[in-house]
Amino acid sequence: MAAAGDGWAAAREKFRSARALSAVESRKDPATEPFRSKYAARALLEEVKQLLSGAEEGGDAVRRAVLEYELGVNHADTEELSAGEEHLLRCTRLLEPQRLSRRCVALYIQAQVGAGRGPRRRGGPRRGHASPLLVSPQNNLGILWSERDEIKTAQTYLESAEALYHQYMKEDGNPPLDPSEHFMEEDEQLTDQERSKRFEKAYTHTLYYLAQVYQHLEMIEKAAQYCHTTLKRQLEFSGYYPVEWALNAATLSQYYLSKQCFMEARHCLAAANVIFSQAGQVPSAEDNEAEQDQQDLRQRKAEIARCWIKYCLNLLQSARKLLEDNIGELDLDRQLELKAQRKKEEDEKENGRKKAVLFVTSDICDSVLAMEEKVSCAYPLDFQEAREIFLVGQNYVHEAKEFFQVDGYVTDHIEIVQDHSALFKVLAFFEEDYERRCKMHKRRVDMLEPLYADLNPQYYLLISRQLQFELADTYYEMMDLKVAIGNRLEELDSHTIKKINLLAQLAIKYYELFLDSLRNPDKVFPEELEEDVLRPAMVAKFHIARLYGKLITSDGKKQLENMQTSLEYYTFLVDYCEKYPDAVRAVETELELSKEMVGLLPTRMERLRAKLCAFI
Amino acid sequence: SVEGDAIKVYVRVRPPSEGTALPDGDQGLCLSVLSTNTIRLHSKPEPKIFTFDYVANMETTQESVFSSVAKNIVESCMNGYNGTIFAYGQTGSGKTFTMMGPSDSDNFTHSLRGVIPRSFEYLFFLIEHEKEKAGSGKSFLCKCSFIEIYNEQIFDLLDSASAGLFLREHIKKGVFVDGAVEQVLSSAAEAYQVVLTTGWRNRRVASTSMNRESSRSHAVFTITVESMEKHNEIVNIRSSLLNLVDLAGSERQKDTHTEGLRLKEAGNINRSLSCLGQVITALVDVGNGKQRHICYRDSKLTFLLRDSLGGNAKTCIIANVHPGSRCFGETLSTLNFAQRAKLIKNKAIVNEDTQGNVS
Repeated sequence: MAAAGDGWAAAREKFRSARALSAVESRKDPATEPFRSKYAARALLEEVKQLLSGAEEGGDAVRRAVLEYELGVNHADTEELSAGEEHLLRCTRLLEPQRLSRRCVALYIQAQVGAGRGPRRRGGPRRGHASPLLVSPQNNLGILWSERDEIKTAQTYLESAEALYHQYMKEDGNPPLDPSEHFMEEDEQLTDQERSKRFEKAYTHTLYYLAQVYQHLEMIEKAAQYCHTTLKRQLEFSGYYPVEWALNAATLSQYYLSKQCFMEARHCLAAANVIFSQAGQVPSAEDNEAEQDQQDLRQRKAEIARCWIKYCLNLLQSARKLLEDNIGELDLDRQLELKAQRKKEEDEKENGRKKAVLFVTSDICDSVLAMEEKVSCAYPLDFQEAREIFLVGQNYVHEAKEFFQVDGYVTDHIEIVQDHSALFKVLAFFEEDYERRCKMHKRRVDMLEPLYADLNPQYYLLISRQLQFELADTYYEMMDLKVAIGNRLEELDSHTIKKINLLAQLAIKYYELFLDSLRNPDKVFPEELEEDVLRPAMVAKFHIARLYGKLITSDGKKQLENMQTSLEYYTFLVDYCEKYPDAVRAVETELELSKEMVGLLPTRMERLRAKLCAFI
Repeated sequence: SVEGDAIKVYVRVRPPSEGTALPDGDQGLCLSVLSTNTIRLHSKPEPKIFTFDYVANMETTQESVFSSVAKNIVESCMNGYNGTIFAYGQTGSGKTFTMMGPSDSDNFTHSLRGVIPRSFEYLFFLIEHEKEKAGSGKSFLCKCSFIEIYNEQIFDLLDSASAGLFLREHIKKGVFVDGAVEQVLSSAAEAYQVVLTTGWRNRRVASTSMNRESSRSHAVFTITVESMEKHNEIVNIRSSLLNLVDLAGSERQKDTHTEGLRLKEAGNINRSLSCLGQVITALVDVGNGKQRHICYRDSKLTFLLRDSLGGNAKTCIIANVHPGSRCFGETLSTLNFAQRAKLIKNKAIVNEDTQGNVS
C-alpha cells in the first residue's frame, strides 16, 4: 500500500509537471521546435499512465479517462489528429457508464467539446488584448473534427455535450468536480464555487462553438441566438473584457437590424453602452502605451456610436417604407391606420417575446433600461416621433465624428457624414412643409459638397462616386420641391424660375461628374457598363434627360436645344437596352418612360419648331 | 475599357525542389500546365481545370514574367495611375524568387533578378525617356517606403529602430503609414542597392532577433512617382503609387477568407472569447442591403491596399505554386484564391433610390 501511495504521489507530481509544460512552458518554445514542451508533457503523461496501470488500486477508470483526455488534447495540439481522436474516444468510453455523475460530467462534456472543437491556433495572442492570456488548462481541449471539414460531426458532439449539461443540471445540479481534481490531494480540492465557475465556463464555450457550427452550416438565426446566449452567459459569470463584450453586443445589434428586430437591436446597444462604461481608464506602465490605449478606447466608443446611428437610420427608413405611397410621399390613410394599430397593441401589451432576449440578469439591469428609454424602438409615425429618433441619431453622429475626424480617417468620416445626410433625407420625408423640407436637403448639400471638393478620386473613387450621385440626387430633389412650391403659385416669379434652373443645372453637373468617372483613361465612355455601375449610370442618364425637360426658358431656340439634349439621353437608354437586353431588368420603369418620351418628344419638337418659324 | 478593371491573375509554377519529384518525369507532380492560360490539377476523382490570365510553366524566364505582369503596370504608373503587384502562395512556392530573385544575391544585374528590380529599371528608363522628350519642362521625384506587416503590426524596414506604426488616411493622398521613412531615389541602382537590400536585410534580421519568420509577415514596398510639368505659368503635378507586395505564406493566413469550415478557438476561458466578434460579423455580413456598421475592421493589409483591391488601380496577383504532390492541398487553395481574386472588382455601390423620382 505504501508503495502504491508513493506511486500515486509520483503520478500526481508528473501529472502536474505535464500540465505546466503543456500550458506554460509551451508558450516559450522556439519557432524551430514549436512542440518541444508538448512532447515532453506527452512523455510524462505516458509515464503516469504506466504508473497507474501498474498499481491497480490507484488506476480507477476516471483517472485513466483524465489521462486519455490529456493525451488526446496533447496529440490534437501537435497536429496528430487521428491519435488524439482515439484517446478522446477512449476517454468518453471509460466515462460513459457514469457520465452523469458529479465526478465525471465536466470531463465528459469537455471531451465531447474537444472532439467537436476547432483547431488550436498557434501564435501569440491577438492584438488588442492588453494583458497576456491567462493560462487555463481546461480550455486546452481536444480534437478538431472541423479541421477535417466535418462540421456535421462536430455538431453532433457539441450538441450532445449541450444536452448532457442540461440533463445534469436538471437531475443533479451540484457543482461537479473539475477534471484536474482527480490528480489532486484531498486538501487541494477546489471549492464548490470554483467548481461551478469552471463548469459553467466550459459550458459557455460549448455554446460558443455551437454558434460557430451553426454559422458554418448557415443556420444563421440559430447562430445568432447562440451568440446572444454566449454573451449573456459571459455577463452572468463575469468572464469578459468590457470593451470586447460591448463591441460584440454592438455588432450583434447590427444583425438584429438586418432582421428588423429593433427592440433586440436597441437592447444590445444599450447593454453595450453600459458595459463599455465599465472599461474606464486603462492603467499602464508607459505613458506612450497608455495614450495608445486611450486612443483605442475612444475609437471603440465611436464604433458603438456608429452602430447607434445605423439603428436610428434603419428605424426611420423602415418607418418610411411603411408609410409611403406609390410616389414616395406620406400616405395619410396608412398613417392613421398604423396609429390605430399601435394603440391597440399598446393596450394588449405583448411582453412575452421581450423576456427571452434580455441580458439583464445582473446588476446592470436598471442602467440598461434607463439607456433604452432614451430612444424608442417603435416605428415613428409622424414628424414629431421621427424627429426624436433623428436627434438621437444626430447626437451619435457628433460623438462618432469626434474620433473619426477627416484628418486621418477619411473613409470613416465620410461614411458618418453620409449617414448624417441620410438621416436628414429620411426626416424630410416626414416633413409636410415643402420649404422646410427643402432646407433639410440644403443641409445635406452643405455637409457633402465641401468633402467632395477635397476628395481625391484617385484614391477614393468609390466614395467620390457615391458623393457625386448623392449630391446630384439631393439637388434633383430640391428642384422637384421648388417646382411643387412654384405650382402652388398663381404665376412663376422670376426668382423661383432662376432657383429651379440653378438647382437643375447643379443636379446635371453632378450626374455628369458621376458618368465621367466611369470613363477609361482615354476619356472614352464604356461600350458596355459593368454590372455594379449599370443601374446608377442608367438612372443618371435618365435623370439628366428629365432635368433638361424641366429647365425653364422663354427662349424658344434654347428650349428646342434642351428638348434635343433630353431626347438624346432618353435615346441612350432605349438603344442601350436594345443592344444589351440584360440591362432591361435593372431599369424597367425608367426604360418604359424613356420609350414613351422618345416617341413623344420629336412631335413636340416639331410643333415647337413650327411655332418658332411662324414668328419669323 | 473592360480589361483595365478586373484584377489580373498570373499563375507561376516553380520547378520542383529536390526530393519532391521523381527524376523520371510527371510522377510526384500534382498539376500540369495545359496552355498559356490553363492549368490542370490532378485532383481525385476528377481532375480540375483552372483558367487564368496567364499561366507560366517551370521554364518561364524572369524576363518573361516581368514583361507579361509588370511592364504594363509600370507604364500606367507613369501615366498617373496607381499600380499594385502581389505575390501570393505558400512558403517555398517561389514568391521571393519571383519578386526579388535569388536570395543570396544583392546584385542588381543578376540575370535571375526578379520583378522588383526589373520594375525599378523600367520605371527609371521611362522617366529618363520622358525627361528627354519634354526637356526642362518636366521633372520627376521618386520616393519610396518599405514596410512590413507582422501580426497586425506595422514595422518600418527602412528604420529598424521604429516599431508599431499606424495607418491613417489623407483626403488628398489616400492611405499612408504615419511616420514611415520616405527615401528619395534618383536611379534604379540606388533604389535597389541602398533601399531594397537594406530593407530586405532588416526583414531578415527581424526574423531572427524577434523570433518571427519572414514567411509570416507581409512586406509592402511602395514607390511614389511625382511628375511636375510646367506649361508657361501653370504647374501640373501628378502623382501615383506603385506597390510591390510580398505576402506572407498563404498557409499562415488562416485568419482571412481563405479559411474553410473551421471553428475558431476560444481565446481564454477566464477572460474572453476573442473570436465571438468574428462569428457575429459573419452573421451581419450575410444581411441584406440594409444599412449597418460592423465594429471589426479589415486587416491592416487590406486597409493599406484598399485601392488596389477593387479600387482605382491596376492590380495584378502572381499566384505562385509548387507542383509537388505533397503540396496538393496548399496548391488547390492557392488556385482557388486566385480564382476568387479575379472576381474582385471596383464595387461602386452608389446610394440611389429613385422612389418618387419617376413621375
